[in-house]
Amino acid sequence: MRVDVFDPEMCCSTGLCGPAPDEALIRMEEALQRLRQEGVEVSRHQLSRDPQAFLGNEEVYRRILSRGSSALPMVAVDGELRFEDGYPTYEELRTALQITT
Amino acid sequence: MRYLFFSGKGGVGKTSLACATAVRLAEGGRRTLIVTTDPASNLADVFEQPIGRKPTPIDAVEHLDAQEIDAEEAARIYREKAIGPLRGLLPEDMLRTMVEQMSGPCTVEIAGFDEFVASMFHDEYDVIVFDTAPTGHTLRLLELPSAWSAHIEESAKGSGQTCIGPVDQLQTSKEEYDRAMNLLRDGDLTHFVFVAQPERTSVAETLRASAELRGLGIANQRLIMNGVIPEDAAQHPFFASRRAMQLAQIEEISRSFPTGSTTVPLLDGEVKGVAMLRRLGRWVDVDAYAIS
Amino acid sequence: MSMRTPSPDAPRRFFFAGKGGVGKTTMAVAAATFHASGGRRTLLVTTDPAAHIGRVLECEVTDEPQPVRALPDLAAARIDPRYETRRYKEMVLAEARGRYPPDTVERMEEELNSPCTEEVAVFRRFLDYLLTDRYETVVFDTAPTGHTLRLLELPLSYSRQIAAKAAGGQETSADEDAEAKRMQKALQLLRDPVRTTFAFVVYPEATPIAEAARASAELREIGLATSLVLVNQVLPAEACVHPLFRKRHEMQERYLGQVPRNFPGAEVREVHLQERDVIGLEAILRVAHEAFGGGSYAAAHGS
Repeated sequence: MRVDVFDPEMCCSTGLCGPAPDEALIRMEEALQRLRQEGVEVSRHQLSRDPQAFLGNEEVYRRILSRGSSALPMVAVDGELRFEDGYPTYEELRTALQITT
Repeated sequence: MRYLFFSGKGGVGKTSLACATAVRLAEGGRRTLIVTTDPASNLADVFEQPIGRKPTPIDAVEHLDAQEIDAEEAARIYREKAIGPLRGLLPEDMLRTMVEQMSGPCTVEIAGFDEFVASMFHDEYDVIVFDTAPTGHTLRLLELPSAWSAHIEESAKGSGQTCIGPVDQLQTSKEEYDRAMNLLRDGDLTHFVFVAQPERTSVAETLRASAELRGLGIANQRLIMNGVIPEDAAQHPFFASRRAMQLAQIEEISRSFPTGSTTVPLLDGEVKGVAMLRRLGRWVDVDAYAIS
Repeated sequence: MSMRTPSPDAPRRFFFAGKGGVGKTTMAVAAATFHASGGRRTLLVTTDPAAHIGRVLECEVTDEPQPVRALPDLAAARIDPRYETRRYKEMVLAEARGRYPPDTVERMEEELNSPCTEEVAVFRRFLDYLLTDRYETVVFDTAPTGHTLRLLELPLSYSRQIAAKAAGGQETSADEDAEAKRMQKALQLLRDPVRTTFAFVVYPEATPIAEAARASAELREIGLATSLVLVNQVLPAEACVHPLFRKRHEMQERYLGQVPRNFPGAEVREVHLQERDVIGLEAILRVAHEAFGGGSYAAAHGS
């Protein structure tokens, strides 16, 4: 069971070093932590640090080519793109994982 | 290898004295590197030649190299390493956004600091002279090892990402940061030289900075009082009054630097060019640094 | 150069930039006392960790604005990165405890320990003082040039971050919108030459002039014009009898001649080296009158 988060460029994963803490980001990291504790493999990727992840997933790459930065964030579950236009909730991720298991 | 750190709130002649000392050491036969960490450095102006981001030989002085740490340029290189491979593969505006994101002060700070630590480990020199930025910045450079190494260690354990990028993309490791800090605290290897002017603000600032450094475990400190009006030039009441004020300040501060202080007279022109550096160098007490 | 006279109540902001040691502190204090002694509620802010303005005004300078005893309309404050970081962290964590579970709060606390936090915290306080309506005049005694530029460029990089996010179609929260508005306001204020004055302090030697010219050009690139150059520590001609000082005086005259072309459009004022240290209100007011009093500067700035 694997979740890959394709993040927009940012300094820290909680958005804390931006102008104000970002609630959406904080909630996302919370959700991911819970999943990690439940044995799910979780990775977060940023283009500047981990470009291969983006280039290596065909659907993710195609979205980026057509929409640019507005395509992010995207979340893939077990390699399949499942969420775009915003971060999913813990429940949504849990549901997606159950379906593909 | 020895380290000399020249510290002092700007405008006191710190760069001139650091350069004059470097020239004196080099012309005494020691392989010398002078490094500036000052973002607004004028080392190139003083030596009247271009100076690069890597050690650059000074044409007019044998055994002397100079280096300008340019934090902005270092940050740009980190960015290019990350973004370069993606050109042509990603839309332009996306690349531009990425560049923006990686251009904050945070990125620049860690890049500059990374370069600074790396510059301490040039084994091919007998002595490295640091012309550091005004005191607050120096202290920040010295305090950063604990803050950054903690951050890096956390990141390495967690996501493997630091503010600037993957931990392994930084030039220097946590071990090197720690080593750097230990070298700075070693009184046998490192001298801190405060340059001050004999006037109240400079003296107060120097005493404060000195105490702060001692608080960080850095005790081997020396003082140079620069710009002292020579007695024979102080006939006019205006300069007689200023000289009297200077002497009072010199007396006050010398008491706080038992390990030694030197006075350097006001010269009749600015310190530019190697000839002038040699003139200034006559007042520099290189023996005090015990560099073999 | 045309300068509309602002209404007496219009907010005024002053930034004194220049290489360390040129006398920025003295000039900033002089400007602040000049305005305060003219009856304007004035705040003097230092970003210098050593807070020299306290030494010059012989008063205590802390992390919150304190009135200066000798001058009722003047207050002074220091922006201390450590204090601001602590304050910002406490504020963020206090709010987080009400919203998120303990491990999230713990993780946020770890992230807040990153050195980046300091930049955010200092910037927020700087914005507070820039945008305050509690004082008519705010004078910033900024740190040496490199850092000054970064401090002033922060609004641009943060606002670009938010703009990038918005352009990417991501939702911005109400907090982010409010923040974006504040930064827009800050930028507008900074770029308005009637309300904001960027002054460079130099002394008549090659290095400070060259550095200031470079920094001034960089500010111009981000839309911030330099309207005033103060040439400090000018030797009084009549005292320069001895050859040492005659030579230094000649050198200074040469550099004084170069100043105008290095700062196109700026007014240039000379301030002489004083016989004693510039400490205390009386000494400061003397310098203030030389730097800002009488002549076209006073007229143009409605003081």
